[in-house]
Amino acid sequence: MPSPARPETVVDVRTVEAALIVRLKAGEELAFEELVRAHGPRMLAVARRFLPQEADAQDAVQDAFLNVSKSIQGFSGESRLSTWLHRVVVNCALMRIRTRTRRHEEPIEGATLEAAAVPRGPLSGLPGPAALLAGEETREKVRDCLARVPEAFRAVLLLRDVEGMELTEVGRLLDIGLSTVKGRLHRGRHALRLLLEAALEEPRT
Amino acid sequence: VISCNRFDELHLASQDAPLSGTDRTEFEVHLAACPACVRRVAGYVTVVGLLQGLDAADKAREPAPLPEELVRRVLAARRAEPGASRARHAG
Repeated sequence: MPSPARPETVVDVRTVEAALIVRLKAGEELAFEELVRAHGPRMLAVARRFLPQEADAQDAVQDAFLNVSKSIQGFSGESRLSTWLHRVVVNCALMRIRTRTRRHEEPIEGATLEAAAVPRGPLSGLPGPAALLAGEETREKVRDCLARVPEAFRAVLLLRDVEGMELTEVGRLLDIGLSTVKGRLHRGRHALRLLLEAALEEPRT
Repeated sequence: VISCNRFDELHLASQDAPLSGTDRTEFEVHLAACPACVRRVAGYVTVVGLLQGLDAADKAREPAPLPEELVRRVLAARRAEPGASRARHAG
């Protein structure tokens, strides 16, 4: 008689993960390749949200794996490996954004494109997010709109509204003050709203 | 009556912790009296809902494998790192 699959599956995943970590800590190259192939695709998807340019996203993933290789000895296993890898790749993406934002601080903070425009409001007449996102076409439109939000605003949006971080934590990670975090979040949401309104109100025929 | 900018401040603050006392009263009074802020907040709710929905939809799907060129690049970069001499192939 086969036993119920779900609890066993959870145990198996943890066991397989623990075994992989032991091999990684032993410096086994094949284990590192397994890690890259198994977890890399999700890490690249996360990096692409923060860094829509493919080369930047791939560089962030490479940075992340090198960091993981260097710090695996300190990984305690208290959190899931996937959770840790997610944090590492987000940090690597933010490192690139921080560097670029410092170089272009003024234009980004001075961007008026979004702040000057007045929302027309058609978003409120659309179906809820779940219904809207049922189709890949709409998901792609949302991704495209997100990619067009200025980088510094997009990072705050993602950290706050997707990663669920507190505003003070967002500021710490991006090395900016709380008032700047609030300003960027406000502008980022506003910019994304305008872009979504334009994209989603196009004739859906 | 508070300004729309002050309302935005309180709206942001309310997402980290529930408002209380005067802040909560001022927030609610403004919300009841300002259709523009109602529309703006509703728009943000939709935007955040779409972002979170997209995240959930992406997590539910198996992503495409990494480009092979990237896999090779990561493995080569790791081999080139100081200390990589400890690396060994599994038997």
